[in-house]
Amino acid sequence: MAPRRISNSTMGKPSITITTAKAIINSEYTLIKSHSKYKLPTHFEKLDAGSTKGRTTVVKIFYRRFVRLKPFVSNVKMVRQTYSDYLRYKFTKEDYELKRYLVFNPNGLQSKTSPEPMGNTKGGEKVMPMEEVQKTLQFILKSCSYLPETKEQKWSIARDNTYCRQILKNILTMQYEKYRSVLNRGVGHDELDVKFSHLRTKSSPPTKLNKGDKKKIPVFKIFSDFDTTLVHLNESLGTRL
Amino acid sequence: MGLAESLYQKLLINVPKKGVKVGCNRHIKHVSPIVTNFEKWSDKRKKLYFKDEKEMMEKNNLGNFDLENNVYGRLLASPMRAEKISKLKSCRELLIPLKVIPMVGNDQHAENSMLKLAPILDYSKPYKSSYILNSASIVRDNLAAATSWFPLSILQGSASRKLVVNTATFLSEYDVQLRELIISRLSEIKSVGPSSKDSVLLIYNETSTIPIEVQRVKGADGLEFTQSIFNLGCLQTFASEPMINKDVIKEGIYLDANNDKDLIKHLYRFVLFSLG
Repeated sequence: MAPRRISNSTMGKPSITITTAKAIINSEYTLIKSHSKYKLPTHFEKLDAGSTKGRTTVVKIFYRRFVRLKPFVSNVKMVRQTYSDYLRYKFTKEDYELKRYLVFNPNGLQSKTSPEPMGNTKGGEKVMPMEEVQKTLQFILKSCSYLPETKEQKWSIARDNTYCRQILKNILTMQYEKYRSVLNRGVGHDELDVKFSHLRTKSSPPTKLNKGDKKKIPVFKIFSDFDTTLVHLNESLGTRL
Repeated sequence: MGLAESLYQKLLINVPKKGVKVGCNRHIKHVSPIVTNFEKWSDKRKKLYFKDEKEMMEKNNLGNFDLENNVYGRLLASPMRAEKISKLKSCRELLIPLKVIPMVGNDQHAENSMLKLAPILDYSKPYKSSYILNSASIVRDNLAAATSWFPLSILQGSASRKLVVNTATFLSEYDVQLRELIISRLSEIKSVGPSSKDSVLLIYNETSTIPIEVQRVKGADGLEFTQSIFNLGCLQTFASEPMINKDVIKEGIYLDANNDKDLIKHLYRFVLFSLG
């Protein structure tokens, strides 16, 4: 049930490891041993995401797992809050196809032709990009994982996990910066997260700008560089961060 | 413990059968609840534990994204730094680093009192640095306020020092550095085949308006891999001063994700710099 092991490390300060049924706790981390709550269920393959009912089930399965990972994202309450807000935004509001379209067709909307259909809608209803969400779950799982590395034993995948963690951390920081600009800089939530104005102005500097709009240009540039790179990353990994 | 066992025993949980092993082969029959569910209130950072690489990759199907060789991954993973024009934070590699150089003037007394701010290509430690966003047009519009781009420690600390930014050459200095680096790297490049993973294909196509594309390509072995296409033809600045023979580049040059890491990163930054 609950064996407790106290070991003094030979180097420097003593470290205490406490092992319980579900976790290993050392001086730095709480390491959870069971992963079943965070992985996709075994019957997942059989679910049909094509029908409306099946789609709802699948979306809920994914959403629950992402939310369960919240305590792993950070120990800071504010960061956890940003994470769950970002999740809710990604699942409910974001028009990712539009964002993607704007990144890859910087002049597309100027020519006044309507965006090409992405092949991702079915009868007016969005189809769940299953593979991409699955990859994204893998990405978040990797960023929350721990491998017991020693000086002799290193794994290359641990480096990759560190990259995942840093990228996730930066995405959340950027999201927080967006909230801050909505509050302090008069840049609307609508402009950044719904219409993606920062991605539209890239190649076409609007000539007649009032003072308020001029101030927005540097803010838009920071967000557009980040979002553009993020969409490129998503394309190359097959994720949807 | 000085207390009689009957006083605290009710607080403990009975452990069935053999009891719990505590260190030096001692077994006890009662355990404090603090220890049984300790993960709930340990207050340490939570992580998912995997025994080794095999458990992670095979049992849990968490593959390697190879982000080290992915230009976008590396850019987005770089630490966040404050940007001076928009006053926002962004990834260090997406910004232009600036360094502070003490200027040696003709006047002996002035020797230590002048500080110059200049753009560099890569962040380097010995200098105090600050960062501005990576866009030619926005930097040009804001050059009038360039002295406020000095690192905060210098702005607050050195009232007696004169702060100088050479606004006339500031942008071209950065542009020239970037171009020179790209040209010199391109001249020694060994073009790799199209099958290398995460590779970048450099092309020059004036008819296309898309500067960067990411495609999934099928390799000779039938496996799919992603490939980025950087189109230098979109950049107007490029046309006036070609970096490399257009005929060579028309065919396309393949850059290796691993060996040409640095070049790929600078090319991407060059695209963002010229477009912005």
